[in-house]
Amino acid sequence: MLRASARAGVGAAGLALVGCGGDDDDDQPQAVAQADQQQDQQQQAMQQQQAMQQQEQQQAMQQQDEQAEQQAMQQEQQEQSAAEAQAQQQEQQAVADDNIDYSATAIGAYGAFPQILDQGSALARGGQSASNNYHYAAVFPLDPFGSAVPGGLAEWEFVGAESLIVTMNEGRTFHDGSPVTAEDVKFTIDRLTGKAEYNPEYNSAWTGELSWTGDNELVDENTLRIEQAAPSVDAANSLALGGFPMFPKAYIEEVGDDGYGQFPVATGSFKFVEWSADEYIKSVRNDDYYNGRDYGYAPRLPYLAGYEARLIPEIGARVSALEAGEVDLANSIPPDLAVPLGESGDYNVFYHPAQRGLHIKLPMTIEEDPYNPGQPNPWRDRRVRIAANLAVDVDAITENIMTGRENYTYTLSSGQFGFPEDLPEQRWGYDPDEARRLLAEAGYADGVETDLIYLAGLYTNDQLFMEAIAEMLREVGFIVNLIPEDISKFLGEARNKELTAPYLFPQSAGFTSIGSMAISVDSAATYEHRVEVLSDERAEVDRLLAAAKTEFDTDKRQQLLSDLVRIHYLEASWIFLFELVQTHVAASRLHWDPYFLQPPSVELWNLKSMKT
Amino acid sequence: MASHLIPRVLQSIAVVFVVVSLVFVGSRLIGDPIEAYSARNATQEAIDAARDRLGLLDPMIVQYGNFLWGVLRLDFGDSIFSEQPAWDEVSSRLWATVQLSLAAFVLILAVGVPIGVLAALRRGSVPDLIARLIALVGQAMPNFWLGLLLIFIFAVQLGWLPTSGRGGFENLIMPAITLAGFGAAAAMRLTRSGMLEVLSNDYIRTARAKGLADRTVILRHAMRNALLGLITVLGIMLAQLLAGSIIVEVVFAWPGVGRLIFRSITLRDFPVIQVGVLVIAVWFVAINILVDISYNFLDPRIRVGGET
Repeated sequence: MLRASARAGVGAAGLALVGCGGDDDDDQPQAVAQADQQQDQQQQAMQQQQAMQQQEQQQAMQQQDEQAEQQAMQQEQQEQSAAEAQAQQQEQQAVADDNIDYSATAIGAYGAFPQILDQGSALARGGQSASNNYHYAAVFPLDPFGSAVPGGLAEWEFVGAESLIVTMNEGRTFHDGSPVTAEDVKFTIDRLTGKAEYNPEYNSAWTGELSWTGDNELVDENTLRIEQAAPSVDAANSLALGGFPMFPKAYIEEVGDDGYGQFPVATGSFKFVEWSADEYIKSVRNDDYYNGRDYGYAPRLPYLAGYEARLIPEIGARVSALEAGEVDLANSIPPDLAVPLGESGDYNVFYHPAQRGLHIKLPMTIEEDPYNPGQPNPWRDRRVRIAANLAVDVDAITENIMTGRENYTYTLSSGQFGFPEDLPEQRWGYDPDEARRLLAEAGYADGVETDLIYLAGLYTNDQLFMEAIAEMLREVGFIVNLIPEDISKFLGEARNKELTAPYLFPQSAGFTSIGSMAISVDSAATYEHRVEVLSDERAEVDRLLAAAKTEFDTDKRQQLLSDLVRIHYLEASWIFLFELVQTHVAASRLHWDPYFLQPPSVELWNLKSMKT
Repeated sequence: MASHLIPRVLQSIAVVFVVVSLVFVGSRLIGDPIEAYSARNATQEAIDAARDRLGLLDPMIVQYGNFLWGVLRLDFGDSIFSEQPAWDEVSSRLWATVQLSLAAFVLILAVGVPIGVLAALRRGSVPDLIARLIALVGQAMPNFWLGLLLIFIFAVQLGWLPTSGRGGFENLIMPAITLAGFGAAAAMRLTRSGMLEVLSNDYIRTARAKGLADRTVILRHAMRNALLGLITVLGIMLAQLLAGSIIVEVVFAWPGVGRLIFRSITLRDFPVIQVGVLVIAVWFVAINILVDISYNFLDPRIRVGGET
């Protein structure tokens, strides 16, 4: 506004000057006086303008200082927590190191392989990427909580909320020995955001994660400035996510996308050697990996000298291969097969949270009941939603159908940034009588008719636990039609917002904290139900999320997210279920102490083969 | 023979054309591959761009025309998922499946036919009862179960054979037995019933009355006639082995074309489905022509030119 007033002042002076053009000589003194007056006005306007500019600069500098201070505090906190974790790990490691066989190799069996080995492509993502992502390392390393820390390939520095400066560390190389440069980082971001000149139509899997990036430019050969098109608190995190691929520009330009998909050269802790699609992927330890075994963050130089991934799609055959000694690690084995193997004493069973908080999304943004046109949607009544939560005995399901190690979920993940610690005290328990009472009170004593949709066969025992949930809901008065759906059909319907019924949604919490929340709770999210009307509470959730996305102050952001999670839970916005646990079985010589609180898969760099 | 074969081949080409056209239409009716192809958080613009790039926004008739033109040039386009030529995707796995199918077929011939003959010759005896029991079990047992059972016994318990993969000859044994299980049992029963029928004919009695040796009667007179009925079934079996190896390939992690087609159907990878079905259709047709030709050699009464 000040700037606009200043422009108005200059404009007025200009108009006055124009106005004197046709005056007679008699009027000269008056004209001089007018000119002096106008000059004074001009000077005043200029002074005003300068003062405003100074004020703006001071504000900007102040903002930058505040942000820098906040970032420094954040960094200090991260360093402190990482140092503690490192000390603890070093202590544990010292005991075990003498028994590790550093020349050992291992063979791991997987149920699925990627179609191509280019980790940047949408075709290589999903569950099958576990057999490939160890070839890749992100720009920045991660602490045990999954937050980015400067180091690894590069350092970072925020310049206000406008750009992120990435400065390369020296001596980092790709698997082919070529140095990793700022130009490679630029190329990587361009390739993943469809801006690379050689192929703007590249089928990137990372466009969502990098949506904050604007233009980027090389400041010098070691420095890249990435503009933030939309200020994002997750900017650095998105360049540190597990499996984020760093691409060698020269190599890809030489071999093309097809060639790269068949023979990836990257920066990960394992080097790709060869593969046969549908059979095996062979790799060796990257002995030149820049993060040594005593490095404080992940990933690090692996213990295993080599690794072979084998594709054995059938679970029983995977277990048989382990029992026959053909493989050392059988990935993704259901608990009913894994537990007896662990109890035999001949194998180690690895459990870890799968970064997926299962919940059933309820269609509370739709006004009308799809079963009774003209009637209000019952799911918009909080009592009905609470009744659904009270009807499901989550503990019984995890104990009897799953591994018994699953945590109840209050949001995407209880380990998530901003999780309110007092929330477990307010958990919806299992109380079918209260559920019936609430349904009756809400006017649905005769029941609530609903479909219940889930993706069949995607997760361990999903058919079993969805049958159990449906039956428990029926017990209290819901009339449930359980519908198993094919993934392609489901994703299409969900994306087009055609789903009007509750559906099981296994959102990964491994995405950046704000990003995964955005996918799951934002009313405008890709996989949300059709949005017709919002309750006050849902609107508040959206508002808190929008505020958190651009809040650089750690404490304030945590508070926003905490408020969001609390409202979302207490409104019974979903039927809250549990965090999936992955189960893998390994030969007794293989040991794994997870580094991450929620590892996405077995951390190969952290897998140790003990001397026998 | 040529006058019979040429129309037969032309007819077969028409059959392949119809089959492939049906697959073209059918594969587009089962769903949209782009939902599975795109990243989960892909924008609608990116999805539309992918559809456009793959020609899926063209009118169906244009897509069909492009497809037929591609077939004539043996250019089926790239796999939507691996981005490799669809033909390469199928052909690189084809030999593994052919190898498995032929091994299974040899087992069917080597086990099913002789035991069927033996059971017919010793009708009502203990060997006949055992053979019938084996045939019953072989046909009743699902092949994935047989595969897992073999793995448990011969790989896990005895350690004689590898559980899975495609390495040397030893890797082929259990998948081939599993794939042959049903076919061998069926061949055994068909051979037995065919032999029993032939053995009851007058000309067999006449041959024996002439004082011919039992061996000569069985090999020259009985088996040759019994096999005539069997050969059509064996031809269909050989064709089905190629198309029906999916389960065995999954259980034994055998990197063949069956598993590829199964996965491609799941992902709606049209180009690979089309090549896969084309290969199977050509295989079926070729086997049928071979069966026709083999009649000519086995039974002089059947003249491929139409004489009897």
